Amino acid sequence: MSVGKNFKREDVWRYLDHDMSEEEKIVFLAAVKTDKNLEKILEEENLIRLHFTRIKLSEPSAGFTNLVMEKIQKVQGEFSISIKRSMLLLAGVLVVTLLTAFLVSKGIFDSPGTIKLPEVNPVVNQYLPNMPEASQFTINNKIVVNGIIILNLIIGFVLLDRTVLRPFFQKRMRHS
Amino acid sequence: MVTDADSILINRILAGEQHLFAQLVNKHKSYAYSLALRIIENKADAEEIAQDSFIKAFKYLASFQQESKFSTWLYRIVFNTAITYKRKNKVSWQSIEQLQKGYWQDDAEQADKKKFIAQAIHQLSEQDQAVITLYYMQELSLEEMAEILQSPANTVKVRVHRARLKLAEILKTILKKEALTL
Repeated sequence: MSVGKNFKREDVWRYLDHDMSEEEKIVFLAAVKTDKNLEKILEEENLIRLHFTRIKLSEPSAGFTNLVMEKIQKVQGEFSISIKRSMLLLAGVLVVTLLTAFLVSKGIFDSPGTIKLPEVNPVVNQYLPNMPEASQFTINNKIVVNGIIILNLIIGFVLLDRTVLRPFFQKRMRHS
Repeated sequence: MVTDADSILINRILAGEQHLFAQLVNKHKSYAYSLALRIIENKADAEEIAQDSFIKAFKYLASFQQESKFSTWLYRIVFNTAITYKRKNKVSWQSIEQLQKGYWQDDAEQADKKKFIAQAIHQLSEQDQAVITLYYMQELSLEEMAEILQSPANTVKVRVHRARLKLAEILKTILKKEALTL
């Protein structure tokens, strides 16, 4: 895109970006004075620059900082658990896990449990008097309780990571 | 690792003095707000975006590696938040006109031209608008722009050049059309 005899639009940008040497500037400004088209382009590019630089002075509302800090406090209140509370939660999870493991080791859950549908809901018996054997379920209590123990352990590890280990190592990293 | 004033503040905030974040907000709010305003072109939305960006910055402050300036990292958050917002909610032309009333306060002589420039900028692609917006924020170096846009510095340089050319072309077309209607 040619502008004037010797100058292109790119040169106008170079002038506005202060990328021209003093000698180049003198020649360029002399060309602007004689070339109406170049003058027009310079005016346009200057207006574009102005369009952006004026808006730069914009300031947010007076209470902006307070609003941000209030929102931060709100967000923290919603999602954070205090260390004391998380330690209590962790202790609770551990107690439940140990207690259940103790009961399992004592053989409390060794006998299989049975659920008979007609006993659970007598209405079933009314409509289906000759219930097949499939209506009777046998549950291995030991497997169920072991599953609960594993789930508890996973929750415990997640809690330990989020509330104790991660904050601890982050603190160490910052101070190293 | 950067050890400027921001960095010292960040370390103290992470160590538990969270109220100090207000100092970071105060220091960077104008620039963050202006960047959002240039992209969104609506004052109320820009303020909301700037606030959200500061909240995000606070939330992820621990993950900030401090290898770059805090301001660059923050502007990237503002930029991404604003672009996401813009994609979700298309900003109407009217809001730009309203915005213009705020900052075009000088003589009426060049008012038309300014209106056409605003129109031309609006006709640029979202990406070109973003690039050119960041470019004219002269406090940013090409390297910082590259970090915000997550592209190599050379690519950013080429993108700025192309965006400027496109803007000039669009402006030319608009002015030509206007001259014909007169």
